[in-house]
Amino acid sequence: MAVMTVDSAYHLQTRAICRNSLDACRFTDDIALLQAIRDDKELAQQLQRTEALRRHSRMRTRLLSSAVRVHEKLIPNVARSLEHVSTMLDTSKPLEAYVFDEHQVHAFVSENRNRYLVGLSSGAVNRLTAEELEFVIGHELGHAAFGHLEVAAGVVIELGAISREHCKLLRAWQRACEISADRIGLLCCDSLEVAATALFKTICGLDLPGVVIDPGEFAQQWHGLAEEIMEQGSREHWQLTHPFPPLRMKALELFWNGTNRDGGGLDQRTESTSDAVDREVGRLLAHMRSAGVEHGDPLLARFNFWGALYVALADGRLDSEMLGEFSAMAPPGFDADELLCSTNAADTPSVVRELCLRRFREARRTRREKLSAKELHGLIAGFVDVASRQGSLSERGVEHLTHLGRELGIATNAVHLLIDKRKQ
Amino acid sequence: MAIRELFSVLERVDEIATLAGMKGRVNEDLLRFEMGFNLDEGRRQAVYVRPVRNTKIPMITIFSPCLVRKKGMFQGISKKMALDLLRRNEQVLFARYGIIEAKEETLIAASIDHLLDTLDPPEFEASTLHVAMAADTYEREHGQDDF
Repeated sequence: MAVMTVDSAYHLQTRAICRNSLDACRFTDDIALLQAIRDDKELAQQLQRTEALRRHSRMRTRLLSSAVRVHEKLIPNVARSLEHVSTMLDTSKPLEAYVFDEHQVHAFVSENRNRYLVGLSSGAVNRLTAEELEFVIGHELGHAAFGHLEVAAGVVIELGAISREHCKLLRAWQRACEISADRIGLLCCDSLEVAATALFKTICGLDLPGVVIDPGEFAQQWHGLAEEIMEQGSREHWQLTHPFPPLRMKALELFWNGTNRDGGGLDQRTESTSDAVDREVGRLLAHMRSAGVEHGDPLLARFNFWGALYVALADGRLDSEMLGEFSAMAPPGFDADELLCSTNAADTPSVVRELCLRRFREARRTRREKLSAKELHGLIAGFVDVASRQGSLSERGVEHLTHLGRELGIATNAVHLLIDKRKQ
Repeated sequence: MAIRELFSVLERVDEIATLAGMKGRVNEDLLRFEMGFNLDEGRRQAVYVRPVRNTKIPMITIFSPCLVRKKGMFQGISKKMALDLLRRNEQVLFARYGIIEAKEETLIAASIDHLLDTLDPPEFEASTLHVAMAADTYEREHGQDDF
C-alpha cells in the first residue's frame, strides 16, 4: 500500500507501493501501444535484432569510469532520495546511481542482467532539492518498473530500417511511456508542486532556490499551446520522443486530481476515474499524432464541429441523440451546450447555421498550414456521413455539402463524386 | 513495401482523384490506379498511377504508355528516337518521356513522380492531364491511338 509519512526534516517511514497499485497507475495507451508493437511481426523482428545490443550494454563500465557512484558517504543527500524511491518501488534488481558531469538537468535509466543503473547529471544534483530528485529518480525507475527498457524503440528508429508508420507507432508509445513514468515520479515525491517544480527546472535549467512552481499555472500553458497547434495544423510533432512539457504537467494534474478525489489516495482510484483520466490524457496526446483524420482529431476539431453542425442543420432541428454527439464533439474550451440547446428553438436554426459557416470560415482562415488531401477527404466524407445519417441525402443537405466543399476549395462535381462513392 | 501499404497508397490516390473530381478505379490485381482521359478529336488516353516501392516516404508515379516497339534487328528504339525524346523532355510540362525495357519489347511512356503526403487535388489533376497529353501527342505523331 502507498504510505508515506513525512516529518519536518525528511521522510521517516517509507513503504513500498504494491505491484497492483503501480500497474493501476500505468497510462492505458502505454499498455495498448506496447501490445500493438509486440503484435507487429516486422517490428518484433527489428526489436529482436537490438536485443543483443541491450543485453551487452557497457553502460556500467562507462559510468564507473567517468561518473561518481552515489553512496551515503559520498553524496548522502542523493543517496537518501535514491533509497526512498527504491524502497517505494521495491525494484526487482539492485539499484546503482551515478552522477556525471553535465550542466543540464538530465537523468536516465539503464539496466544490465544484474542491476538497474540510474544516471543523474551534476546539473540535476546541484539544482534539484531532495524531493525533486525523488520525482526525477522515480520517473526513471518508473520506466524500469513498467518494462519500457525491454523495447529499444530509440535504437530501432535510429537504425532506419523500419517504415514511417512504424516510426510513428514507436514514437507514440515513447510519449505514452513518459506519461506513465511521470506518474511514478509523482507518487514518489507525493506532491504535485514538487513534481511541477522538478519538471520546470528540468526543462528550463533554472535554479530557482526556494521557488515552488504553481502546477495549475504551468498546466494552463497547455491551452495556449493546443490552440497554436490547431492553428498551425502541422502534424510533424509525431517525431518527438516526449510530450510537450505543459501537456505533461496537465496530464499529471489530471492524474493527481483523479487520485486524490474525495480525500482518497492511490488505493481509492476507481476504474471509472482512471478510465476518464486516461481518455482525457489520450485526447491531449492526440495533438501530437500525425494519423488522425478520424473522428476526434484535435487538429480538425473546429472544422469537424462547425462543418458537421452546419450540415446537420440543413434540414432543420437536431434530435436529442445528435445533440449529445455534438456536445461531445465540441472543440476544447468551447461550451457547446447552450448553443446546441438554442438550435432547436424557433427562428434560431438559420441563425445558428450562419454562425456555423462563419466559424468554419474562421477555422479555415486561421489555419496556417494547408489542409492536406487526406484531411480534406476525411472532412468532406465525414460531413457526407452526417448529412446522410437518416438514410438518404436531402437536396438541402447536398447544397450545404457543396457549400462547405467550396469553402475548402473543392469543386462541386468533386463533392458529388464523393457522395456517389460513399453511397456504394 | 508490404502489400497492405501499397493498397493504402492506392486508396489515398483514389481519394485525391475524387477530390479533384476525376473518376478512376483501383486495379487490385495489377496494384495500380487507372483513369481514362477523353481528348480532342475523339482520342482517348489511359493514365495509371502506381506506388513507388522501396521508399520510406510514400511516393507515386503517374504514367501513360505511348508506344511499344518490338526488339530485334531493325526494330526497337533508334538513337534518333532516343534523342528526340530527350529534346521533347525540355518542352513538355509536368511530365517526362522515358524508355522502359522489357524482355522482348521496349515501351515509351510519359510519367511524373510525386510525394503522396504533399500531393493536393489540383496538382494531381494537372499532372495526370499533362502526362495524358504528353503521351497522346507522341502517339498521335506516330499515327497511333493504342493506349
